[in-house]
Amino acid sequence: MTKDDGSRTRYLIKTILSVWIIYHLFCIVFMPNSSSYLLRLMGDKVLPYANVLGLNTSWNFFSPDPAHIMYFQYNITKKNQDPNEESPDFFIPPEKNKGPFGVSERRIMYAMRFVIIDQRRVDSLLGPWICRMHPEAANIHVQHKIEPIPMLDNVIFDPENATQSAPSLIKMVDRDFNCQDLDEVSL
Amino acid sequence: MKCSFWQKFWFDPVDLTGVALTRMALGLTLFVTYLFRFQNMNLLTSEALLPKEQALLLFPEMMRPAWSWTFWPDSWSLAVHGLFCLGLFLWVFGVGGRALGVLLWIVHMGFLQRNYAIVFGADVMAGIFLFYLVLIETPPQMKNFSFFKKNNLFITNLPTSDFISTALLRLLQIQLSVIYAYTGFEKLKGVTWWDGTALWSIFANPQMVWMDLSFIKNISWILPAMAFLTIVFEIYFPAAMLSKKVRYYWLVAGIFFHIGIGFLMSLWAFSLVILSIYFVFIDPLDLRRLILEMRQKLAFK
Repeated sequence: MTKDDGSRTRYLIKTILSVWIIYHLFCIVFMPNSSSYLLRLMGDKVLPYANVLGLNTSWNFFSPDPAHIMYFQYNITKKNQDPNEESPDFFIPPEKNKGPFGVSERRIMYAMRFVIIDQRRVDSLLGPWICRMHPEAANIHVQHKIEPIPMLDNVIFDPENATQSAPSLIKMVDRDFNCQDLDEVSL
Repeated sequence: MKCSFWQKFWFDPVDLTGVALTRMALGLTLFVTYLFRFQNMNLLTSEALLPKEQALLLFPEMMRPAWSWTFWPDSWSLAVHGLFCLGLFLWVFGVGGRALGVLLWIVHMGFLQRNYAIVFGADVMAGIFLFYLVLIETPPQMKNFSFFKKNNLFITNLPTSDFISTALLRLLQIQLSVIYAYTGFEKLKGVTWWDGTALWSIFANPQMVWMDLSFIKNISWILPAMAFLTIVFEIYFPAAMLSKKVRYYWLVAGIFFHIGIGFLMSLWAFSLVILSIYFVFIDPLDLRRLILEMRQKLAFK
């Protein structure tokens, strides 16, 4: 290869790289705003690429508003359980309304939050999963609860009634699953 | 190239000292995060909340990848995880070129896609940052680096990058800047960020902070001040990076900001993944000077 050929090849590579840079920059800048008109207009040209590279992410840490305290609460009814026997409550995360702060426990909490974003996932994923974790269960009763944080204004200006004025507990999900004939529902 | 600015910005050789430090810091953070994930292997196998055949279906159709990077069966997850940790450890110290890097990125993306429900923001960001870093040539500094020897390339030479590495370094810088800007924009959509009470919702939430911070209500003015400063810091991060003088103030503020998040919320992986990218915003000569001063203070001759 002559020196001339080498510089021509470099020029060609740089030109191709420049086109890719512009395309990739478009993905970096517009993909995080998945609701934008521009993305609806040009989605078919960028989404396949961005989805494979993991650029299809919105960067909304603690936003639009930080989440309240939330957890799943469930209890199980065992096969052949004595009707007078009380079922203990289980929580996801196990600490209920505290922590957890360990790296691996936190992944469980994140999974719980991921499930609740789309309540169909409670039927399709969470119910079957809890049944799998408790092979002794005949039925499970699952609830998702939110404990709202008292508003700062109430805490400062009306501290005596701050906790009373906030709704104490919001029940988002209340489902029963029969583990014995539970088919996983497709997503 | 006729356009000299374009050529200079995207393709002219640059010193990769910052890239070397970023690679070490990000790689080690990921390595430790993956070591912790050995405890969660049951979430990446057939026992998982999410069966493998449904893993990609979890993504909304528009955002669903055309194929899965999870090329291994669930029964291999532990072995692949172990090999990934080994490969990552080698990559951190400059072993393996782009081929090992690309393989690591594919496996990392595979683990993300296998169970997206348990993924941290840090994992997602690390995946994107890794994409750029694995395509950048192994900085020559890393091949001979020793903090304890005087004559290593961190101090003596000014190595230069190939033009592909320069382009990817620029994209890495732009990527973090855009992430910061979006996190700020997204906060502006929230009522509590707008009225300045968002940090109260975080500090008073025992699922988010490990220590009781309710005393902060006694100095409540600090909450909106910190909330607005957070938004200003994030939105103006890209602009601040354009001026060397402002950039360093911004980066120092960012270090305190992320150490605060890491300490109070135990989100060390999140904080360290972002902070590891800060090295590529620092002038390589300043980095070399800093390393030299550190070595002199520690008296490594």
